[in-house]
Amino acid sequence: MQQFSAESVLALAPDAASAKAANGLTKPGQWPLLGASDTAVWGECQGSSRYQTQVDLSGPSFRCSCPSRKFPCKHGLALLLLWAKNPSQFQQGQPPAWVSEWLASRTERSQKKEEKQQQKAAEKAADPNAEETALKTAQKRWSRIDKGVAELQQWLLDQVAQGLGHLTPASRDAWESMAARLVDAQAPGLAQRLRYAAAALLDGTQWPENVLRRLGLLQLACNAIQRRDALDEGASADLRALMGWPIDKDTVLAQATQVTDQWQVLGVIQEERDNNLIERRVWLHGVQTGQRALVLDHIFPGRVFEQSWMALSSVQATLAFYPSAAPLRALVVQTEAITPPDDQQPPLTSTPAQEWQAVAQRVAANPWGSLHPLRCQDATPTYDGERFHLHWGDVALPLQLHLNDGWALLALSGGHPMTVHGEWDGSSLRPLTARSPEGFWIWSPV
Amino acid sequence: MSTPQASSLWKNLLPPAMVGTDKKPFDMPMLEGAVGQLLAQLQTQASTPAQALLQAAGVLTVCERAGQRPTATPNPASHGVAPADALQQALQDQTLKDTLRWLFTDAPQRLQIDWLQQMAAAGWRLPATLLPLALDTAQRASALRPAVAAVLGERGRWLARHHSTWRYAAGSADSAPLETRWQEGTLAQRIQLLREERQNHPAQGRERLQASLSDLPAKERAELLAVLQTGLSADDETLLTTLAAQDRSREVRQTARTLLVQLPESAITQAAIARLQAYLQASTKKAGWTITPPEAADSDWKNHGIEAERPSHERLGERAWWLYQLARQVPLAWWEQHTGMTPEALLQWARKGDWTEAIVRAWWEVLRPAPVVAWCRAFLEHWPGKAMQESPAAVLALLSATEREPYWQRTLESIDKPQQGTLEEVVQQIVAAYTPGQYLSEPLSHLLVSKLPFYQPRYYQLALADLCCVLHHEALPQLSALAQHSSQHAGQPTEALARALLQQMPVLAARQAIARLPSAPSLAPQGNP
Repeated sequence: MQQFSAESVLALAPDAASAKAANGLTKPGQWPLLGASDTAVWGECQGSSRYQTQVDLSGPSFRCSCPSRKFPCKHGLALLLLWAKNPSQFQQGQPPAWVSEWLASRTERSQKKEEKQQQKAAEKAADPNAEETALKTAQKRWSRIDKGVAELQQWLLDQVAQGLGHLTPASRDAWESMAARLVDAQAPGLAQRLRYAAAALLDGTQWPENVLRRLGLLQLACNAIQRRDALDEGASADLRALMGWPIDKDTVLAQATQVTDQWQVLGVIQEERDNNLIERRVWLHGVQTGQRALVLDHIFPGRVFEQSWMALSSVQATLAFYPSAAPLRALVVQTEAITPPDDQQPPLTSTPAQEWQAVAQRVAANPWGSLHPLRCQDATPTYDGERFHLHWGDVALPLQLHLNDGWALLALSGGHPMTVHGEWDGSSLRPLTARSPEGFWIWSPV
Repeated sequence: MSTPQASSLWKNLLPPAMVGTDKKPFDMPMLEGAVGQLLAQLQTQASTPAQALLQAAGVLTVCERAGQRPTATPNPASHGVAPADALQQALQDQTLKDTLRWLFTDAPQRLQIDWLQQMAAAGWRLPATLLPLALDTAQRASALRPAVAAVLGERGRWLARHHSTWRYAAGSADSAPLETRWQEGTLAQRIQLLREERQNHPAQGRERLQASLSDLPAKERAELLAVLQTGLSADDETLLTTLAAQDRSREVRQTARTLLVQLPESAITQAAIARLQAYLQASTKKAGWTITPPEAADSDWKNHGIEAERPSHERLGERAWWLYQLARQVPLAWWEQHTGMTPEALLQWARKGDWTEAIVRAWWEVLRPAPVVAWCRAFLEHWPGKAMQESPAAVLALLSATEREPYWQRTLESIDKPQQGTLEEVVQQIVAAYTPGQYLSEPLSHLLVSKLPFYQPRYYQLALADLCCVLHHEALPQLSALAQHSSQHAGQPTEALARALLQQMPVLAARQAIARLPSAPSLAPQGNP
């Protein structure tokens, strides 16, 4: 049966307030009913009203009858916390109807999804015109994009021919209208890049270099789109991703190479994006294949991620990688057993040279990728009175973190080397997990 | 391939990019190797200088991203590496770690202190991940600091040195030589060290303190001097007399006098007795004594630690203020010998007279540092009411458990119908009298729990959380039964008590956990010098 630690359960909380609230709900007497089977735990929480809460342990996936928009809600977390702390207070047995129906519907849903997929594929095969229709739609989009990119190219040249020195804060409006035209041209990804460049305008003493860097990458994008017919499949896919032209998940599942491995969860981070979406990045490391993967999901606030990931656990799973010249992003095809973080984890070794080489190769293959997973073994965090750094190999990486997380890392290390996993953005490392003989640390929302 | 500094490459690109390639020509940076060839190719193929510049910027950015590593070397860590712990093991059990986290964020302070003390006694230290939380919590609550300091371990002290608000905990390693701990330790560490030394070698402790006095700030002098209470003897008179007369700090002079009162044969105390005696006359009435405070201040007083001028916030009147100061320099035993009265009779006498507050306050100040059972009992039996700024709980706290418990037992036994005030008062007194880590006796605990259902529904008035910390371990099941039982009888008068008790279940759980805490497996023997 699945067993979790309280720390790893709290790492699933969407924010600190939820974690605190969940802790407050773990008193005996607040749960008149607590039950468990091999696959799920459930309970009834008595507050101002009575809520039915359940957790499918295979995910873990949560469901609660409370009206909270947080996910998982405090009741779900509290239930799993109680389970983590003392499974013996749960009555073993057959789940009541409200639990078994949900579990059944989850199985049914995944079956339906599969059926639908097969049906879709069958329809596609049956419809002789389907491919032609799709091709036409794509051609239409490409012609719009080509127009938009031609405009962007001219605009870029004008900026540099006239000189960035003439730009004023008011220039941002002009940049924004160029970005809006790219959205109209169905290349929202390029629009986002341009807005990113605009954000650097007149910001800090280094702004001219920073703006030029970002415009330079846009220039490369223009060149790549102009000569797209000469690109191979992986590079074409990266180009589509760069333009914000999503690939259908079904297409990925149907086409992609699937990799089955024991995946160690290097880190999980959840952030609110500008457009109100919540983005979750899960970084994985394949123990046998040595492959790295990013499971990227977005939800609207109040909605539910299909799957929960526990940092530093390892998961036996099959992933389907999105086509790319440097495959990183992946979809989960199937998950099986989870080994929680406190249990023995597969031993991994990597040197700084290997890690940097992987980053360099990924950048060389896909210049537009922005975040890279780093596994820093034998790394020592330090604090110089102002900033935290991670000494690793012959470099000191600036750490991007909240003060409290810095203290936690420092305490965990005590000046001794340990293992830190994080996201490298080209100039700083954002730590997501760390492990030392003294224990482990997991990124959590403030 | 040559690797020129990235910044110098941007220097080629920036001027034309800022001024505009229309006005300022752009020269492609010259590089060797594949990147150089690519740049040269761009130069020839580009349709405009602007395009060549943008493409070069793109290429250089990608190269940077692929190859550049941070070059800035921050200041090396000034605090080195945390030494290995020779004495304590980190608590590893996940459930106990969770309990500790709850303890620091939500538990009553009494439980925090008790838990941490027991943890230290069993040879455990805090797990690393909880150190920042522990240091922050104790930073806000100084009463918690000694208990937290005892479970920080080397790792915790090392961490504390990194952050100015944690300096209070940095101290010196427990394994450091005694001299180092005395020179570099925190005040709490030095107090502890001095107290231990006074227990075994009082003269050595006194000499250690005396040698350091001139280097210490007034507050530390006063706090360390108060430690001489431990192992106090006539040998300390010389030092105390000097300090009482000469120290720059009034607080230190007063502390020295508080100690001298406990040395009845000391010259200073004999002189104080003589001073006070002049104002106390046997009256003509049978077994009566009259006290008449001085009419005017004596110019000599200031050499004897008596202030003529009454502080502006002082409750006492001027003459009472003088009397109080005179009386607090005199031992309690002298009153008994001189008047031939028992403490009880003296308390009654003081209550009847005109100068109750001045006398009672002086007695209390002499009594508190060196409790005498008969005097404590006298205070409790003949409570001087408003003349005492303290509550009976403060007096009860001076007595040993066996001496004070009968007092509460009588009160509790008399409760036989629903009420509010008395139970609240008893609970308050008990909570105030027991320091963290001390528990009520088992019989009294059972008695108290059995009377709880008589408490009328103002449950939030009862210090239930603290009560749960102070009850005897064996009475806890009875308490949880009360909580569980009543929840099944909704609508009954005891329901509110049950609800309030349910809130305290985590406290009870934490007490169960600490009671079952095993001793830490011993580390490689390494003596503490």
